Amino acid sequence: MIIEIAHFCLILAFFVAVFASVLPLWGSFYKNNALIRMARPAALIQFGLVFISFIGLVHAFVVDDFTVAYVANHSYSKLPLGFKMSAVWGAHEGSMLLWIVILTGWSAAVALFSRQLPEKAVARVLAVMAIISVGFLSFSLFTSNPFERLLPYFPVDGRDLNPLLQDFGFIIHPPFLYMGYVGFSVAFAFAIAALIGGELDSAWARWSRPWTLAAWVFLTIGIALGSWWAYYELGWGGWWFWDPVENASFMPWLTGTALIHTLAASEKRGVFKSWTVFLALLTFSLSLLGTFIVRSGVITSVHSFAQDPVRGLYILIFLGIVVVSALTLFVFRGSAVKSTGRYQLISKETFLLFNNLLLVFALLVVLFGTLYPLIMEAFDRSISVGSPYFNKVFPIFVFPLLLLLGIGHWLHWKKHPVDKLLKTARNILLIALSVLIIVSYWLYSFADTITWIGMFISAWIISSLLYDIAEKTKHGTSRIAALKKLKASFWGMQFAHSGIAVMLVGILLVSSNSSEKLIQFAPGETYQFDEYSIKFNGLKQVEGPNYTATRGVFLVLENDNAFTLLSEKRKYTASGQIMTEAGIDAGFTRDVYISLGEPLNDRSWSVRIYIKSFVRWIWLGAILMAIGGLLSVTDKRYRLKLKSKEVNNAV
Amino acid sequence: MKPQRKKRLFAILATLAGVSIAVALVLVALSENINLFYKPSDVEAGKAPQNKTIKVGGLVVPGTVKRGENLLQVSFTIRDNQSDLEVRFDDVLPDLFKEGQGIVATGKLTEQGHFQASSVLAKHDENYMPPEVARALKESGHPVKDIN
Amino acid sequence: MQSNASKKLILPLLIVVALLGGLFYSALNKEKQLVPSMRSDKPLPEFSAKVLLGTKQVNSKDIRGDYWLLNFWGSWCPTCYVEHPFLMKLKQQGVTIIGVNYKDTEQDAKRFLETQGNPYKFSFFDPKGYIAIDMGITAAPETFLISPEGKVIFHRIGEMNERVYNSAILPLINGSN
Repeated sequence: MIIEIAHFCLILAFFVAVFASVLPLWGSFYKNNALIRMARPAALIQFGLVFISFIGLVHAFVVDDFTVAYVANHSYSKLPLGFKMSAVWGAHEGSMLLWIVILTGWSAAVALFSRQLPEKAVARVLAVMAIISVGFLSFSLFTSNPFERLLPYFPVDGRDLNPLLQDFGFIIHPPFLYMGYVGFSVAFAFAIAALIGGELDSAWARWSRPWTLAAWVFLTIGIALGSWWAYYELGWGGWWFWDPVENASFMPWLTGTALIHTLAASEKRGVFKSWTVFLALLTFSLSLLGTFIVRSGVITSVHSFAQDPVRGLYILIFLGIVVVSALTLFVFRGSAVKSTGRYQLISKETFLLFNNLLLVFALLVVLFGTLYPLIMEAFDRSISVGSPYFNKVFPIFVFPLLLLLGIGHWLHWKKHPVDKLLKTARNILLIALSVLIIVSYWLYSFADTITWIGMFISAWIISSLLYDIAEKTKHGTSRIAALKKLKASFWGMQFAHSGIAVMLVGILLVSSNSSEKLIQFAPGETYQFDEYSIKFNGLKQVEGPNYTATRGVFLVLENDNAFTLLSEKRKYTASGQIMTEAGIDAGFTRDVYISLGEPLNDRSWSVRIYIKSFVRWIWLGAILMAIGGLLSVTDKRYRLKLKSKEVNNAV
Repeated sequence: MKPQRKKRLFAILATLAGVSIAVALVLVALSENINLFYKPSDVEAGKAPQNKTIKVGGLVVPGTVKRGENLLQVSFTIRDNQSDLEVRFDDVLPDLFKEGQGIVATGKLTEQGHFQASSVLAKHDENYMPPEVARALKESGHPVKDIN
Repeated sequence: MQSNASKKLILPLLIVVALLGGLFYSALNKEKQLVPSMRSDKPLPEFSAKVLLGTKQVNSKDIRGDYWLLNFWGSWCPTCYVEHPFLMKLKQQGVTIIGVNYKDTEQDAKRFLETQGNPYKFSFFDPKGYIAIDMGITAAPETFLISPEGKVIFHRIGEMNERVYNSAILPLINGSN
């Protein structure tokens, strides 16, 4: 019964969305205030209905209602409760529902937290978001309904959730990723609303900035979680594969990053206005493209989802409508915008322009590499693009970007005196080089050219950030007092950029300073690996809630420090699938990672040992970036505007 | 030319130069790093090059998975509808690897005619319900379907 | 100047979008299987296997007759239960269906046929999936239509039902008459 209610709520939400996408927009053109004022409640009702329907599906999973096809296919009575709930988004239908919950959730948030904006603008923004939710609600209802029943015949137990997904990382990875993906729809809706109204002043940029930043923070965390999950769950210690599904989430991140930078320029200086609008449209279009790539299975991927041409076609048509109408609107309305600000060659504006150009180039590199197999397929050639392509080409655009970053963030708007720039840059360079010289004794033993360049760039960024703090606190009574005066958005910038530097160190060192070995290992034996002595202490049979496992116990001696690592080979009861759980000792400068291979004879197993140098820094960097984004969202500026507006209204 | 125009021209030229260098780099890197995909029947027909990194795919023929003298070396045969190909691999087979299941291997075709894989990827098919499921369910006293 | 520039952009942009759209569309309709599935007009591969619940060995080349269906099934396969009533209906209409019992045990398969009914003229017994490899299938159920000349003229992945049968299979059978 609950499932029928949930299904009904979803249908209802669809109709509400249809009305919400037409009426407020109509009202905004014909100055009908009643219709305009419908937008907010409609957004909240939509969210409420979709949320009820989502809870209904969660309930079906929790109570093991295997008459629901989706539950029967992706759950299992012995699945632990937490995984039963996350199994809701373990496959296509449920993850689309999660997508919609999040989309309507963002609309509801816009409805609630944008009281200071003109009603008309909010009505248009919410109407655009409602159009998007019409698209996805109908997609869910017509092609991927999670509420279908298996009656009269239904299995007594389920097929179980894919063991790869039975993991904490997977519980939280998709929600974050979708929060990011879908969050860019807010920036998109703001851009479209501004285009429709022809009001592309800097207010537009100011309004959509916190939303865009928030979405970016979620996407950053989501991607990092995905990478972390792949690292420990796939059993061979890779953290990024340039897989189409990963690229699908990375592409909107690249343009999203460009967008949050250029929004700042539009807001503060009134430059790059139409470019900013274009980026907002592009970013969400790339989110939709990502959804298409992941959901249609047009590109073969390790994360292969079942291919269904009907679903793919549906998203493709929707994507086409969104992109073509957004582009057309942009070309006919966006051209009316004139950037007002003037700036010199040496200025923050120019450097932001380079930032954007390089990010877009990086995007094109990823996009092209991802789509190339499809292009060749159209000529009946079956190929795949290896990760060496991405690893080779990507730094060519990203290294210059990061070099310029070390200068751009402290430049003045409009104009920066050249002599001052050279002086500051020289000082930073000296600091960076001295840092590099200090670590070079250690780097020398393993670093290749790329590592040297990258380590320099990382030192360069950190030095420039610290130098900037020192410069900004030079004046005033005391340094501490000056530090306190610095704005949240400044610290946001500092954190996010230091995150890049930290991540870069992680990426470089894990690829140049790690070691791995595959050995034939029998219980009782000891293996000496670099400075680690690893003893195979034997195998145990373990019973999990829904699996049985062979657990290898390894005693690792690292200098004077001894610890035990447990690696498992699990066999999941319901699906019969085998899964490797690696034993990992996480450390600030290295991870020891042992994964159990296969039994080779009655005594020995193949065992893989990895020492992953500085791998944690990759995710640490992402955390710093996310903190940076959060700090920027909380910047007082966005709230002050609200107050002054309220004062105005009161007067 | 007016300075304004000059500046614009310079900007356009710089962008064009940047774009063409970028495109050239991308194309070169791409041509070096694409892996063509072959089926066992393509290999038998001599369509696949030797000693070049390629991908092959097919279904693992049941009963062909063998280990060599060095136990870390494993070999198995893959098949499409027409031909067989022997694949050798010196690493841990993926968890999803199963006889009768589809795999894609990346590696090189040797002069001896077998395929030396550097990585093996097993495809997980969501439509496919392994028979083990049914067996496990039955062992725990459940019929797969409520037949009554 | 800016307005002209972006108006000029629309054509190339739309062309790129259209090209990408075409590309994706064509990719949607491509088969993504490792082993190419049997396409139109390929002869049925030769395979020979023991029949289910019997001892006789049957060779695929020896199957003669009018149009017939080759259906892969297993007692472990949920969708096979779903399509089963329709296969029974086809049998009553006089359609020849030959089964391949795929990755199953004889005992389970027997029970399946006893409780659900037997729409098959006979079933090959393929516990290891050899025939499946020959036919390029990865899952059950899958169904092939074989012409009197012994050619595979249609391949259905997934559930067989009235809609598919009427829209895809009947026209093929009737078209040649």
